[in-house]
Amino acid sequence: MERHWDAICVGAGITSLAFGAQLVHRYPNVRLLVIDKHTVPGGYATMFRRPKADAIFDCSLHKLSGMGERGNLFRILSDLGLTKELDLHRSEEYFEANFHDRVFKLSNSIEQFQVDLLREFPAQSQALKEFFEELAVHGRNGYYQFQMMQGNYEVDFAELRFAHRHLKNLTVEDALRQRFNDPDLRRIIAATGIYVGGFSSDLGYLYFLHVLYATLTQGNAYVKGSSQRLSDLLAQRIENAGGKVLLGTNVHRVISDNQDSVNGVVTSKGNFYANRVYINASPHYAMSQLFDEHPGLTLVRMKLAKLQPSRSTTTLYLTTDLPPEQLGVESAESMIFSENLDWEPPSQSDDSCEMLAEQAFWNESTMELTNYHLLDPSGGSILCANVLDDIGHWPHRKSELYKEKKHRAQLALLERLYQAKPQLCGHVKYVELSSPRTYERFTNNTDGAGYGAMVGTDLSGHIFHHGFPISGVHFLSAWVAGPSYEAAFGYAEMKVNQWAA
Amino acid sequence: MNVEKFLCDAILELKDIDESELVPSLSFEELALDSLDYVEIQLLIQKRFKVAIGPELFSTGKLKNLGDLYRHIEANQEQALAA
Ligand SMILES: Cc1cc2nc3c(=O)[nH]c(=O)nc-3n(C[C@H](O)[C@H](O)[C@H](O)COP(=O)(O)OP(=O)(O)OC[C@H]3O[C@@H](n4cnc5c(N)ncnc54)[C@H](O)[C@@H]3O)c2cc1C
Repeated sequence: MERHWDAICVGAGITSLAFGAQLVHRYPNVRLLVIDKHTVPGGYATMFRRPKADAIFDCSLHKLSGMGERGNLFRILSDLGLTKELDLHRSEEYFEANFHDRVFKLSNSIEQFQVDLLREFPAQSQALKEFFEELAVHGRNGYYQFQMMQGNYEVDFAELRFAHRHLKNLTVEDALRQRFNDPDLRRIIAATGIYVGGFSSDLGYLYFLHVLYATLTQGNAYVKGSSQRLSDLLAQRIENAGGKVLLGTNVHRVISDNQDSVNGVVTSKGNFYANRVYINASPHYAMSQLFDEHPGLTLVRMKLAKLQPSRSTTTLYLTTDLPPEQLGVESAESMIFSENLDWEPPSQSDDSCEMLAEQAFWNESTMELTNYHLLDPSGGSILCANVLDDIGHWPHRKSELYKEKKHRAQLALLERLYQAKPQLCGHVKYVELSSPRTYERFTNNTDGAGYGAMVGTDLSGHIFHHGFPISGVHFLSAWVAGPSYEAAFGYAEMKVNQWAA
Repeated sequence: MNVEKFLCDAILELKDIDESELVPSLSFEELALDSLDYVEIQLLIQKRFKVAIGPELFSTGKLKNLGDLYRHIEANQEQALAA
């Protein structure tokens, strides 16, 4: 195969593919090589098959935000001419809230969502009004941040100033406690954090407002045929323009000329050369495995130490013998809340008490349940339940202890599911569990964090790549863009804008 | 108001540092700006001086310290005003 390219991407995750497809669309002559160790493109935006169970499982939720008329993602996909090729499902509901003593649905339109919350929490009406005003201003400004930096979105500077001063340093937990005194209401609002891999004590409030704004006001859609469909379409675009998506190939090292500018990569299929290399893998992994020693990298590593990985997930994939809607799972998405009001996630360093960690992550944190059958009946009767987790209390994959722990997790999550949705009992045909170790294995993401970096209150680690000492090296992933496909596409667009600079 | 004075005031608003430390050789590393601080500075400059600071100027290290930033704005300002 040809060994010289204009640019090489290390990793074919959704961010690389989004970058590549936009790049070749804008510059049809650019020759791009995208390399991934996995045998399918998409990174975490993929699916896996279990033919014996007649099942195809999507790895992520494949819920796309920003798919309304004014949505950032819709605009980018339209520019690429992809909206027609994607078969989208739009849901009426944001999610169904499941408490042990009551269940109610929350709408996917922000106006109706407010009405639903007012109906359930009438005593919080003034607090809710103020919260939605805050969301409308600061959530919107955060959402259009990339546009703002490119001069396409006019911002009120006083609002921006206020937000950076007063909201950036608050956690979601602190902000919601200051604003609402009903713990159930706080849990409903904080539940959205699971989309970006953070509990309310982890996430920065300003960033969180932007996520809520994106998912509630800019139009949600699910991709039929799983997120793999989107990844495949993007990979096809790259190949149609003369690029190459080289799969099943491990990148071992990035090569640099006199160590000052990049000139290629060493892989399991030999060397490939280019003067620009875009790293899609986790930067923690990249900095420890892909670069030779270089004096300038010490500073990068110091800055990187401040970039926290997001929470990981433990996920239960299952099939049922009847459509899940007939078994009490009426919504595309349900959030299942525990009875314990004041649980705390054990800190990342405290994996000393395994039982406490299991109790907290599996039984007491919010569980998200997706009914894929409602989104795409042709895919089969498939459900998927997620809880945020931490790799710290998981032993290494090949040990007996790991197997036992996986078994315990499966039982705990199933039991919780049966408690919330008793009609599922006796109808589950096939079950499989993935742990934070599974994500680590498939993506090389440190801490098993499928989402990328945590956007907490300390944002200094997010600029670890500024002034990178080897010119031509770029970082491109949810670790710099922020978790979610929409952020990945937005950041990729910004990188394409910089191609000619 | 000159560029240097304007930016010094803005940075003093942004960061808790002493005015005497704000010398042109002070690097952005030393200023310990976070990602949103960069956004704010970029927008402020765009609004005040009509000079676009592409995010890559910071990320590639083309602008390393305050002095680089002053010079960049001054060099591009005339053109921006004429446009
Ligand atoms: C449970 C869960 C649900 C989610 N649901 C949603 C959702 O509904 N909507 C949404 O918008 N977002 C969702 N997300 C977030 C979203 O999936 C991620 O933010 C996004 O997929 C990250 O993409 P990426 O390209 O940055 O990284 P990755 O997908 O991790 O891609 C990195 C790629 O690099 C490759 N790689 C690494 N090292 C090497 C090497 N040495 N050589 C070759 N290749 C290498 C890996 O194989 C991988 O393919 C979810 C995340 C999780 C964990």
